[in-house]
Amino acid sequence: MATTPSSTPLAGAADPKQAAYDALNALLSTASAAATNPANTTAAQDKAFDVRTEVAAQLQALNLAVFTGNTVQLQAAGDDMALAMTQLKALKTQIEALGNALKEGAEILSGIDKIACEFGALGL
Amino acid sequence: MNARKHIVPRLYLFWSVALSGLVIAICGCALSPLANRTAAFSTAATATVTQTTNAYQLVNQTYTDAQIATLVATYDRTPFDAAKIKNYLPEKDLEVRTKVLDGLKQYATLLTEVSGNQPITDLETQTRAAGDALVKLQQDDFKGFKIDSTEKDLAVTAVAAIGGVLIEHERARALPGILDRMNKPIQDICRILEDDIGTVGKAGLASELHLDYDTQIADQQRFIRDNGASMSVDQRRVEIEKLPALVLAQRKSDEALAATSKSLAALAAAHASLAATKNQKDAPAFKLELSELVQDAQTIGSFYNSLSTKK
Repeated sequence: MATTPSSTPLAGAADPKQAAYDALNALLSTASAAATNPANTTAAQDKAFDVRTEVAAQLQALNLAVFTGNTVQLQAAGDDMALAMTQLKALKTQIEALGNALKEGAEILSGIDKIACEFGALGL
Repeated sequence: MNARKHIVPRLYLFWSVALSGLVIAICGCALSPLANRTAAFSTAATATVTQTTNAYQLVNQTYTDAQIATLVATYDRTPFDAAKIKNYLPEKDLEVRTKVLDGLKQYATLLTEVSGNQPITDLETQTRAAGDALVKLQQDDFKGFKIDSTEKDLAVTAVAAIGGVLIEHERARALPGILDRMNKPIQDICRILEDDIGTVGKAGLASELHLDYDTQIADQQRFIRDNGASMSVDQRRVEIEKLPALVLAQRKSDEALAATSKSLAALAAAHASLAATKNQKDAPAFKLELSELVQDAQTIGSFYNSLSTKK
């Protein structure tokens, strides 16, 4: 009853871990089929359910081991981003500074307008 | 009178500079192709980060659903143990992923900010305000210096163009090096996150998700076996209907994780293309990588959204 997908790699036999994983998956399928087979007695089905639960727990542990095993490597790769991030932030600051400098130039023009108005008012 | 003599030549000087700027603007005030590509990349990267976060949530949620299904199916035989109810993915490992994904997102956002049009738009707004002030000069003493609004627009465009050229120069100087430096971490991160997910049939989150649906299906069958006789016809129908629904959800979820994994691979490839084509005007390979990435992001995004609406 376990829905084994068609994408299951066949080349797994070369990798002992994959071979063990495949064996567990095969056991899971057998146990699941026995657990839901109406031809079996309820007691036999329950026994098969227990086996299925055990095997599923082992597969879950292996699945989780990949995730937790990647954490240190991922942390290191994340740390490697730091230098480039600092440089990117510096570039952003530099671009903002350029923009601000040009804005100041534009503000000076507004200032000239005000001064001109004041001179005009004074009759100079 | 002396002050006035100084002001007018300075204003004419402004015009000279502004018109020179216009010439530069005609030569190339538009965003460089690299800047356009970095902006497109960052949009796609943000979408992939969201997908990956959603994938972790989906795995945790489905694991919890499987725990609940088992609890319901075995409640009469197995005592309830509150300590067994927990998330599948450990918090400390998830935290590292969240931090790295946030970093990727920040990188994408910074790329957009640095390569986007906003600094030039801000500058143009400010310059336009100054130009408006110049148009208002109505003093008799400045009869020789009258600016109409067409001239003002010309000047504003020119000053903004000068700013644009200077900003583009800064980008062209620093951005390629940053892209090169960031490429290895991005490749590593995407490869590791892809490995987290894996494929169904190999150890990893894709297999876990598939298994948790299998567990729900098995437990639902057990529940019907044990309680079917005491159910009404309608209750029984409802419980049986849950089985095909679970099978369909399993297929969709398998597809979602596979697509997320593919998006991560495409993101890595797109960044490699971005870094490799940093000095090229056009980059068809990059465009291809990105179009694949965007297509994947759209497909998978709608699936994850449908899940969040259901919850």
